[in-house]
Amino acid sequence: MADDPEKTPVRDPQDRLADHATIERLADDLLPALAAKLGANGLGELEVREGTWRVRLRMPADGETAAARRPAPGRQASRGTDAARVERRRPNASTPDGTAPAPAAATDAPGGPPGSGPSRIIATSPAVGYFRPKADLRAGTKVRAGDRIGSVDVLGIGQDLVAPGDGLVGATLVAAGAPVEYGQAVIVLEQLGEPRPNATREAGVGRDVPADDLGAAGTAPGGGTPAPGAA
Amino acid sequence: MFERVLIANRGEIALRILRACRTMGIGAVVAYSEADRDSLAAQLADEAICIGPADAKRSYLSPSALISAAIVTGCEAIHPGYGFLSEDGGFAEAVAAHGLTFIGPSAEVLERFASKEASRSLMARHGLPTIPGSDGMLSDDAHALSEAARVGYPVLIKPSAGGGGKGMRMVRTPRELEAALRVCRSEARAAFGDDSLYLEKWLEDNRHVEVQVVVDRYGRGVHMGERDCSVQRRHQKIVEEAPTPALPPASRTELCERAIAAVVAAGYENVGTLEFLVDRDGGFYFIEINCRIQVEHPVTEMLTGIDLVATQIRIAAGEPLGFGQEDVTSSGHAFEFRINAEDAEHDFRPQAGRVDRFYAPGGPGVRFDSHLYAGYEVPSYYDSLLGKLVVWGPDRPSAIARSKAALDELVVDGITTNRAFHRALLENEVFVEGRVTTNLIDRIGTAAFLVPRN
Repeated sequence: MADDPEKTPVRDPQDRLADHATIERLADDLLPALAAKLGANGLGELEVREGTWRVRLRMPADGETAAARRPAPGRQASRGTDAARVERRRPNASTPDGTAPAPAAATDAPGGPPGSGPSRIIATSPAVGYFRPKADLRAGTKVRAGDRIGSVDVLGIGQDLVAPGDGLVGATLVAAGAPVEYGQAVIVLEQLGEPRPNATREAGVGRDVPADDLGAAGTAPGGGTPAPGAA
Repeated sequence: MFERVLIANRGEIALRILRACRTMGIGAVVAYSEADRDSLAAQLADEAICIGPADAKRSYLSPSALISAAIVTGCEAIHPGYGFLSEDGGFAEAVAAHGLTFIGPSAEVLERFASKEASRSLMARHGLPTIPGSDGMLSDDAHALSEAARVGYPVLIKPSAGGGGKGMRMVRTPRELEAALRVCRSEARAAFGDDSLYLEKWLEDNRHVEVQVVVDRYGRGVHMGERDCSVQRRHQKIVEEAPTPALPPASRTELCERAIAAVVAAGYENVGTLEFLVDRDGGFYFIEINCRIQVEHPVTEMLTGIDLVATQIRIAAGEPLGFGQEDVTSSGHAFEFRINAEDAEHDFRPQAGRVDRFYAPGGPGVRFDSHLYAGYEVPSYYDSLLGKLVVWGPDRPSAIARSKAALDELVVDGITTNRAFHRALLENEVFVEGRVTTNLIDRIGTAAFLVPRN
C-alpha cells in the first residue's frame, strides 16, 4: 500500500503551512546552536522542547551508519545533522476532542508532493465511501472556505466534502463513483493570493465531520477504547 | 468460503487474523486509523484502507466506517478481533443488514449473552454452578447495601457490560461499598456507555480458569480444554497457562464437559470462552462468557494444534465443525506472557514512542505474536499490548525453563515494557509451584516481584 500514491497522507494545508514555518525556524536558528553545543560538551543526546515541538539531537553511536538512522522519508524532518529529529509531540490519548495528530507532523520539507505547495490546498475525504462530485462544479469555479464541493456516500448517506479554504477548483483526483478512504485527497483548490491561516478553522474542515450516526444501525459504545485486556 | 475479509482491528490480533486468512487462501483487507498507517498489519495486507482518525470512536468503534470500508473494498465478511466492536450485537446486526457476514456469534446470540447477569442466570438454568450474587442489577445504593448484606461481605462490584477490570471493585464493608459504587458507575459509564452494576460474593484466594469452546451453526460443539488466567493485576490478565495447575485431570475434564454441554444447550455459536472462578477446595463457579476470540487463544492452539481463528472463520462461513471431541487432543504445557508497553516500576504506566530495536525470541516451542518492528512508533491512543510470548514445553517445568530463555532473548529497545516483571515472576516460588491466585499480585504488590534476587 505504501506504493499507492493515492494513499499518501494528506494533512490540513493550514497546519502544513504553520509546520513549514516552524520547521524552517527551528532548522535555521535552533539546530546549528544545538549541534554546536552537542559537539562541544560531548553529550550523546540533547533534547529541547518548545510549545508542541521537540527537537532531539543524537550523536550516532559507533558502528551505526547514517543511513540506518535516517527516518523514513516523509516522516521526520532531518536537517543539520543526520541524527537530528524534529517532531511534534503527540497529544495525550485523552485529548478532549480526540483529534488525531497529523501523522506526518514534521514532514513536507520544501519540495513536498506535487499539489501541496503554498498556493494549493486540498479537500480530503471526510469518510470511507464512494465519491460523488457536485453536479455544477467545474474547474475554475470560485469557492469559499466551507463551501460544499462534493460528497462521500457512506452506506447511502452523503457526507459533505467541503472546501478547506477559498480558491479556484482545480484538478479532481478521484473519478465520480470511485471508492475513497478517509483523508484521501479528492479535489485540489488553487489559492488566490496569500493563504489565510484561519480559514479552515472558521469554516470547519471537511475531514472533521463525524462519520458516525449515519447509515448503520449499529451503536458504537461511547467512551474509551475497550482494552483487549478484557479478553 | 469467503474470498475477501475485512479485518476491523489493529495490533497483534490484526496480524493474527491476516495470517489465518493467508493460510486459508482468503484475501485480507486491513482497516486502519490514521494512527496505525504504518502498522505491520496495514503493510502486509492485500489491501489497507484508512477508516478514520486516531480516535477509536471514529474509526475502530465506528460501525458505519467499518461497514463502508468492507463494501468499497469488496469484502464479504468482517472479522472484529477482540475488544472494540467484537461483542457488539448492534454492530453484528448492522453488518448482516448490509449483506455481510460478522465473524463471530450472530447478533441474536450476542444479545442473549450481552448482559453478564443474564448470562449467569441462563447458564445456571443449564446446570452450571454460579457464585451467589445480587438478584439482578443494583437499582440504587440502598438496594446494593441490602443485597451485599444478604450475600455476605466481601463482595465484588461488577459492571454488566464490558470487561478488562473497569468498573470492578472488591469491598469488605458497607462503607467501602457506598464509596465504590459511585466510582464503579462512572468508570462503567465512561468505558462501556452502560453503568448498570451487580454484585457477586468475593471468593478469597480464588483462581481464574476458563474453558475454550467451539460450536458450529448446527449445534455441534467441542471444548478445547481450559486455561488458567490467575496471574492478574487489578483484574487484568498478565500471564495465562494451560493446563491449570489448580485442578487435577479428572476435575478439569468435568469442568470442560459441563461447560460445553451448557453452552450448546443455551444455543451458543462460534468460538467462545466460559470463565470460572475456582475456590480453595476446587469448587468452580461460572462467572461470564466471552463471545469472541481471546487474547490468550494461542495457549490452546499450542496444546491442541488447532487454529482457532481459522476455525472461527470457517464456522462463520457456515461450514460444519468437521471434527468431534475425540479428535481434540491436548499435550504438554503452555504459557502466554503479555508483553505490554508499560512501566512496571511506575505503577504500570502505559508507554508510547518509537521502538528502536526489536528481536523476537525463538527456539523449540516458542511463538511470538507481535506487530512490532524496529522503527515502529507505538501510538498512545490504544491499549498497551505489544506482543504475546507463547511458550510450549512437554511439561510445566520445561515450559518454564523455555520461557525464561525466551524472555531473556527478547529485545525491545526504545520503549519500556513489562518484560522484567515476567522474568521476576518466573523466579517467584508461588508461581513456580502453580499456586498463584487472582489477588496475589495486588496483595503483595508488584514491587515485591521486581526486587532483584540474589
